[in-house]
Amino acid sequence: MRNPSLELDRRSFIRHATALAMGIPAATTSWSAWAQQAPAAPAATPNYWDWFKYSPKILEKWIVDATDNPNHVEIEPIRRSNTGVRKRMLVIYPRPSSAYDISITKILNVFEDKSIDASVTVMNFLNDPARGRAVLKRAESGNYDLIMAMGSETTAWLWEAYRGGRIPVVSVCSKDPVVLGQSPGYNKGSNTNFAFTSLNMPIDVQMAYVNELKPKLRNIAILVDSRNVSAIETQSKPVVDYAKTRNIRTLEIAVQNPANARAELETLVKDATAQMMRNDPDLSNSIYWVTGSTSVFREIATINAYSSRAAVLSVVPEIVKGGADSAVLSIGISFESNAHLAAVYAAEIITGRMRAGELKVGVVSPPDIAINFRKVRDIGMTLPLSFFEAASTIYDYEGNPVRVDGVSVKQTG
Amino acid sequence: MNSSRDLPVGKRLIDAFTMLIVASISMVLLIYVAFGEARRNYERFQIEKLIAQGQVVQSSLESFVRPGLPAHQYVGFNLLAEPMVKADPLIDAISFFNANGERTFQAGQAHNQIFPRISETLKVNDSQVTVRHSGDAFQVVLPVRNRFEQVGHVVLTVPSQKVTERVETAFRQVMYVGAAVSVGFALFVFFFVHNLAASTRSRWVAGGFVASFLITAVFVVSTLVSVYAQGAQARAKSIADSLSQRLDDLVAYNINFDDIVGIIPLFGEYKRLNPEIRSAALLVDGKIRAHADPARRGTDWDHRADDYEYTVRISAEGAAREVIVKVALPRDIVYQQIFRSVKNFTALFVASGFFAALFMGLARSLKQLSDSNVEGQWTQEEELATINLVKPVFFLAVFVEHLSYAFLPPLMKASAAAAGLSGGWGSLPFVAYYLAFAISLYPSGRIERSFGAKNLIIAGLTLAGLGLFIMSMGVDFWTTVLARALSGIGQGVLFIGVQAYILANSSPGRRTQAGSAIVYGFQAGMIAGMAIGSLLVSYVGVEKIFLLGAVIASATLIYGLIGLPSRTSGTDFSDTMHSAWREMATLIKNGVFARTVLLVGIPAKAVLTGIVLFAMPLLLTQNGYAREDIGQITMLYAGCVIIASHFASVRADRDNNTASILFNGSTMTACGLAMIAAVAFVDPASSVVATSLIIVGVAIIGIAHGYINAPIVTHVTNSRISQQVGMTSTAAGYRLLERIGHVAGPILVGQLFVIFGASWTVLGAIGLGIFLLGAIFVSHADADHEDGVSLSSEARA
Repeated sequence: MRNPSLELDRRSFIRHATALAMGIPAATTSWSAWAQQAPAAPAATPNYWDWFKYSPKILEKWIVDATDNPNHVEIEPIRRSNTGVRKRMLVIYPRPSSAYDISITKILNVFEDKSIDASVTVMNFLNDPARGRAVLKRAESGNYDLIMAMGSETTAWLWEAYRGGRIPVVSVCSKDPVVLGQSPGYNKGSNTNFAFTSLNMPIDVQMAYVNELKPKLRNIAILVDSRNVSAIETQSKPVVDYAKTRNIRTLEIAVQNPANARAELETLVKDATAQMMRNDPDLSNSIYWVTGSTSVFREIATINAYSSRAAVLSVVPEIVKGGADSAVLSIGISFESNAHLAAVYAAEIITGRMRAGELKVGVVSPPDIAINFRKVRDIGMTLPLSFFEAASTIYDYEGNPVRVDGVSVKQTG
Repeated sequence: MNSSRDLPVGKRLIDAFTMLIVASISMVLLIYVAFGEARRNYERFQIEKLIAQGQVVQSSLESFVRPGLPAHQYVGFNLLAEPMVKADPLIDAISFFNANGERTFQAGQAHNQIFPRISETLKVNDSQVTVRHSGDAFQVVLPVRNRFEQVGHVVLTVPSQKVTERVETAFRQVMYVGAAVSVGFALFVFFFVHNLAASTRSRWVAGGFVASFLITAVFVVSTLVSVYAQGAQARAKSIADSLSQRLDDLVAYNINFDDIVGIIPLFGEYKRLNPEIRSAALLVDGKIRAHADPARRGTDWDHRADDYEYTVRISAEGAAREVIVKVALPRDIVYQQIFRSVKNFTALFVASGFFAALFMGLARSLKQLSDSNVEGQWTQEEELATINLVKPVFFLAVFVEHLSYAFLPPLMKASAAAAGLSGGWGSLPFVAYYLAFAISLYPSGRIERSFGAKNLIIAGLTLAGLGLFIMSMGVDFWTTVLARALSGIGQGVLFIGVQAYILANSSPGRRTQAGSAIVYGFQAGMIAGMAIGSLLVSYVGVEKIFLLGAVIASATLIYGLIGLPSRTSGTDFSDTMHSAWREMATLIKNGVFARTVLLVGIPAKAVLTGIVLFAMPLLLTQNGYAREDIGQITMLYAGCVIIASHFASVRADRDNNTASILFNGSTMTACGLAMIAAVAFVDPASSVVATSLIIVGVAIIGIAHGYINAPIVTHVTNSRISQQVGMTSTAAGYRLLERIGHVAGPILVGQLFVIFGASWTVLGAIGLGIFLLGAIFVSHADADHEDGVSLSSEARA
C-alpha cells in the first residue's frame, strides 16, 4: 500500500512541476489565471502532454497526476467523497487528438457538475492491441467500474476484443456505430456491455433538416478528403445514397492530395458550380455539403470563392465563424456535445441507474446548429424560424457573435 | 273540496317553511354548481397564464443549459423572475430545482421542495408541464432540459387561496342574494298565496319559485361574466407573451424578418392550437408583418371593440423600428362559457322544480294527516295525502339510482379493463342490475303479505343504499357487479313495496290515479338524478356521488321508518305474479300478444337500457363529451318520453288504432338511431353538427318511446286474448315480459361493441333492426286490428 502523505507530496510535486513546465509562475500556480491568458509554449512539458491535454480550468476541481508511465495519467476529484465508495473509471486513448482534449475536458466537467464521485485513469494504448490487452487486464484486476472508449479506433478495437466483458464500456468521440455495424439500430441498446454514442447524426435526421431548408433541392455537392475513409463511409456515402433515392443530383468532390487541397478545390468547386447552374441557374436549390475532413474545411474561403450563390453547409459546427470565411450554416454534432452525452451515459451506468446494454445509441438532439447571417444575406437565402430558434451559435450581419453556446451575447435591437 | 281563500296560519307556515327549505337547497345547489364551474374555468385561465409565465423562465434557462452548461452557473434568474413575482400578486415564488430536487434559484418567498407528482399532467406545446397540489398551494412545474437530459424544473408556487379568492369574493355576494331571494319567496308564500283561489295557488307558487330561481340565476350569470372576462384577458396576455418571447431574439439581433421563413405559419399554428383567439399578428411600424391569415400582410390591424386585446412590445423603447405582437380574443368566448353554465342551470332548475313540487306536496300531506285525528274516517284528501307520503321515497330511490348513470358505463368499462377483461364485460354490471331487479319482483310479492309494504320499502332502500355504499369505496370489477346486483334487488323490492303501499292506501276507484305516482316518480327521479349527478361529479368525484346516493338512501330510509304507516295491501302479489307466470304461456301462444311483445315491447326496452343508458354514455365519453352533457342528453330523452306519452295516450284513445301508433314508435326509434349513427360520417371538426344530430336523435327516440310505453299496454289489453285471461293479467304479463328487454339491451349492445367496435354505426344497424321488427309487426296489423276492434266494441258495450 502507498503512503498517503508521500502520495500527496508526490502529486504536489508533479502538479508544481507541470505548472512550471507550462509557464505558470510557481508562486501562484494559478490555472484559472493561465486559462485567461494565452499560455507561453511550455519550456518543459509533463510526460503525458504530447497526447493528453485539457482545459486548465479542470484543475480547479480535479488533481491530474502524471505517473512514471508517460501513457498513464491518474485524475482524482479535489472534493471529498460523500458516499465513501469512490468509483473507478478508465478512459482509453488510441493516440493524441485535439478532439479528445475537448472531450475529456467536457467529461470531467459533467462529472463535477453531477457530483459523480469517481477517480479517472487515462491510458493511451497507442493503437497497439498488445498494449490494449494489458490495459484491459489492468482494468479487470483493478476493479474498474466503467471504461470509456475514446475515439473510433478504440471503440472498434474494444468491440472486437472486449464485447461481452465484465466492465461496461461507453464510446465517446466515435463515429456512427449503426453505419459501422456495431449497433443494430439507433433506437436499440446493444444488449452487450457496450453503450454507444455517435458523433454523426442519422442521415435521415440530417437530411430532414436539409429538406426543411431547401425543400426543392436539386443538386448536392459533397466535399470530402479521398484519404479520409471514415468520413467517406459515415458522412459522404450515406448522403449520396439518400440523394439517389430522391432524384437529387450528387456531385462528389474528393480532394486527392490534402497538401494541394486549395488548388484542387479551386477547379473542382468551379466546375461543380457550373454543372449545378445547368439545372438550377440561380443555385437557389443547390448546396455544397462540407464533411468533417480537415483538409477540406480549412479551405472554406476557396469553397466560398467559387460556390457562387449556392449555400455552403457543413457537418462541423466550427466551420461557421464570424466574417466572410465561413459556411452559411452547420448542422452536426460537436465533439463537446457528444462528450457531454457520453458523460451522462457514464454517470447513468456508474450510479447504477441504467445498464450499458439498455442504453440506445446516444445521438445529440437537436444537433448543434450555427448560422452566419452575413453569408445568409450574401447569397440571398432564407432560414426557417426553427433553425434560428435551435441554433446555439449565431453571427449577425456584421459577423459579430450574437449567440454563443445558446446564450445571447449582444443586444442590438 | 277546499276552495276557501284563507288557509289556516299553521298550513301557511308549513308551506312557507317548506318552500324556504326547497328554495334554499335549490339556490345553494345552483350557486355551488356555478361556483364550481367559475372556479374551474378561472383556475384554468390562470394556470394557462402561469404556464406562459413559467415558459418565459424555462426558455431562458434552457437556452443557457442547452449546449451543456451547468444550470447553477446561470446568472440571470433573479433578474428575470423577480419582476414577475412582484408584478403578479398570484405568484408566491418562482424557483429552479436541480435534477436532485435541490433548490438552486429562488425569487419570492422560500419554498423548499417540489410537491410530489400526484395531479394530472398537462401537455403544453410538446413540453410536459405538471400542475401539482398540496394542502394550501399548487405548483406549476416546467421541466428544464438540455440536449442530453433533464436538468431540473422551473416551479411557480401559487397559494390556492389567491386563485379562489377572486371567485369566492364574487360569489359571496351571490350567496347573500340567494338567501334573500329564498326568504323573499317564503314570505311571498306565507303572505300572498293564501289569499288566492285554491285552484290557482299552486300555479302562483310555481311562478314564485321560477321567479326566485331566475333572479338568483341572473346574479350568478353576471358574476360569471365578470370572472370569465378577467380570465379571458389573462389568456390573451399569455398567448401574446408566449409569441413575443419566440420572436424576441430576432429583434434583439436586428435580423431582417424577410430572411426568416416560418413566422406566418407560427401565427397560424398558435391560432390552430388556441382556436378561441380571433387574431394574432406581428406588427412592424404599425403594419402587419405576419398574421394567422397570410393575406393580411401589409394591412393595418383591425381593432374591434368586442375583442379583448393584448399587445406586447418586442423592440426596445426608441428603437428605429417598432415591433409589437397583438392578440385579440373575442368577448364571445366568455358568452360561450356562460352558455354552458346556463344550460347546466336549466337542467338544475328542472331538477329543483321536481324537488319543489314533491316536497310541497309532502309537507301539505304531513300537515293534512296530523290534522285528521279521527280514526276510521278516510277522506279522499287523507287518502291522497297518505299516497303522497310514499312519493318522495320512490322519487328519491330512483333519484339516487340515476345519480351515476351519466358516467356509469365508461366507469364500468374502465373497471372491466382494470380487471384484465375485454370491453364487452363492461355491460355485465348493467345486466346484473336489471336481472336482479326482474328476479326480485316475484319473491318480493310473496314476502309483502307477511311483512307489509313498509318493511319491503325499508328493505329495498337498505339494499339499494348498501349497493351504492359499496360502489363509493372504489371497489374492483367483480365487487362492482355484486354491488349493482344488490342495488337491482333493492330497487326491485322497493318497487313492489311502493306498488303494494299505494294499493294498500288507495280505494279501488282511485288506484289507477294512485298508480300514476309510480310513473311520475320514476321519470322525475330519473331526470333529477341525471341532472344533479352529472353536474356534481365534476366537483366531488365519482366515489362521492355514490356516497351521496347512499346517504340520501339512508335519510329516505329513516323517513320511511318514521313517516310511512304500516299497512298491508291485502293483495297477494305473489299470487298475482304467480298467476301472471302461469298465464304467460297462454299469452305467449297468442299471436297478437307475442308479436307485440317480441317485435315492439322488448326491443323498445332494450333500446332504453342498451342504448340510451349504456351505449350513449360510452360513446359520448369516447367522443369527449362532458359528463354533465351526457346527463342532460339523457334528461332530454326522459323529458320527451313524458311529453310524448301524454299526446300518444290521447291519440290512442281517440283513434283506437294502437298498432299504427306502435309502428310509428318503432319507425321513429329507427329514425332516431339512424340520425345518431350519422355522427360517424360527420367531419370530427364539425362538433356542432354532431351534437345536433345526437340531440335530435335522442329526442326522437324519447318521443318514439312515449308513443310505445302507454299505447302498447292498451294494444295488448284490447286484444282478444285479454278477454280470455283478463286485462289485468294481460297487462301484468306484458310488464313482466318487457323486462327481458331491460336485461337483454346491455348484453346485446355490449356484444355488438365487442364484435364491431364501439362506434355510432352499430346504433344505425340496431335502428334498421328495430324498423324491420316494426314492419313485421305492422304487416299483421289488419288481423290484429280486427281482433282489437271487436274486443273494444264488446268492452264498450
